[in-house]
Amino acid sequence: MFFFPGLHVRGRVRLDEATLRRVAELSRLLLSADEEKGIGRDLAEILEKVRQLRAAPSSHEARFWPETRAFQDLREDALRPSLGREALLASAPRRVDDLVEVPFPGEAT
Amino acid sequence: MTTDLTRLTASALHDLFERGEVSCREITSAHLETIRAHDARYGAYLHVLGEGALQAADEVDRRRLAGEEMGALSGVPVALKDVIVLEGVPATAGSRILEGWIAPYTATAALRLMGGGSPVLGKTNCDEFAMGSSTETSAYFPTRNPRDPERVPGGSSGGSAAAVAAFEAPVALGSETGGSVRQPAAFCGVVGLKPTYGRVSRYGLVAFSSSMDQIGPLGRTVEDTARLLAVIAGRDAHDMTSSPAPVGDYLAELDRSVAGVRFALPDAFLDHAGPALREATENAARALEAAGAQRVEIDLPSLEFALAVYHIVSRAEASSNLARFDGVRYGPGAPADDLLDLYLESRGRGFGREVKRRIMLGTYVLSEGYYDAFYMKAQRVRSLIAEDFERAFRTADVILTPTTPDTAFRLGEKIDDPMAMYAQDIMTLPANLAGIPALSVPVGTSRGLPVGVQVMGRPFEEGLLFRTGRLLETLSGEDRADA
Repeated sequence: MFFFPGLHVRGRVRLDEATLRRVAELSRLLLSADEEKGIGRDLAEILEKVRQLRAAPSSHEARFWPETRAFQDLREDALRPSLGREALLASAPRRVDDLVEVPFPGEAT
Repeated sequence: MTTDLTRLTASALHDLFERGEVSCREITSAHLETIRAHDARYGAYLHVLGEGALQAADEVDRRRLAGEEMGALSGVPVALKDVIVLEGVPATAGSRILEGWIAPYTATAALRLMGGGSPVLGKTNCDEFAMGSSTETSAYFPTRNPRDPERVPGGSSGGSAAAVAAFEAPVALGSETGGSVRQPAAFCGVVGLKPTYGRVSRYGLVAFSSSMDQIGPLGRTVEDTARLLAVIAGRDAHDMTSSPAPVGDYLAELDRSVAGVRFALPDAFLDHAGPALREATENAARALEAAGAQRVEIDLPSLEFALAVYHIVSRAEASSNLARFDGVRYGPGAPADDLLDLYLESRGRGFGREVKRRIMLGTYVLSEGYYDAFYMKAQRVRSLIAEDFERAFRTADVILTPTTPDTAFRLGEKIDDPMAMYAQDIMTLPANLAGIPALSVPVGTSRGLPVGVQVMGRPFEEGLLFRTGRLLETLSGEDRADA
């Protein structure tokens, strides 16, 4: 579980350095020291702003977005027999002990 | 002929072409000349097709001579925002991470335009990955507003709006997630439409926030914009979110009266507007009433949460969509010791600050422990907002608002203040959250800067928006062929 202790939910939102670095790592982003400082400040400000959602009603059901009307011409589900075990394994790589045998490039299997 | 072809509307150019009075090559050539002469001043284009556009124009001329049926804009060249891909042509999305990438296929909207007889002039500048409201986050250069080059053209489709306003293209395609067609249209004094979600295929549109993204047309008149939508709209097998709903006869709608149309002017929007925008919108309301439309009252109680919902949903979807730009599949891989370093370095170098900011917020709100508190809550409130609009449209046929809180701001004025920049979209993003169509129409100027009003409508009722917009555009007092 990714838990960010740096978020102060009771007081004003603040992101500490460790939290910010963890979010950057999860985002696969390398930040310069300057970016870290600036983006940390901006994110805290944005999160403070979005906290106003706490005042919105919570009981409402969330719709599926994009709306399903866009999918109305999909065909009906159709049941078909699946491929058998032998057929599925026929195209699998050959196993040798605990390994999978891979041919050299250009070599016929 | 001696007429400057770039000063004519797209509709007039199409008529001349159809009658054989001017060739597509002449029209395309005139626009390429204007781009060459003026674009250094505005920076509307990232990539101009030049000879490729002329060759495509020759093919359109050949098809006309052969008697082939073409589209509602045949003979008229177009510009494409650089998030819409064209086979064999660079597509950067305004980002360094895609610098040098050549698209291997063509977007459906672009394919329909070319098939309909519209050559592509080039790819227009935009905020990086369409994330911005000023075109200043483009990794290449900012675009300037042709109405005042010290000011921004808006964004993220600022290059497309500037190209149309500067007579460097008769019409252009932009893209919308929270107002990226309408806001630049309003700032540059042109017409811009966000179609209903699903009205235009997103196949070949670089994804930012997939549940809100839509390609949208820009033109100097409502008729030009309607013609452009007529060409690109409709179901596409490549995009399962494109709608099978029939495409309306938008041109026939233009000549119908607005008498009897019920419109609302909600305070929830007016309260965010400066005096000039407020006055322009009230003036537009008076014009509608004078033409026989009926003013009604509506209530949109959940609208106060729209900006917060938009921040969460769009960033969450962006963090997921932009994961593909990793230095392996897209973007030049940076030197690195292992795979994680490759990702960190490539994305760290390739993305600008605004994109990083949005990806990080998206990652944060999707993280376990915060997903319910932020993302699910936002989706619930988004549904409430959509239902507010559904209820409102039982009373009103269209909703009238200012398109922007104010007129175009100065370059550099808001770029270091993200919250001020995000507030630019306060009037436009509710339509993206609800998936409804919305049109911005220029209705005049304030201190020399264009002012736009917005008309929102029910899903797939773009025709009614064009009909209403046709009346409102007469308020500007400008000849849109030569604004």
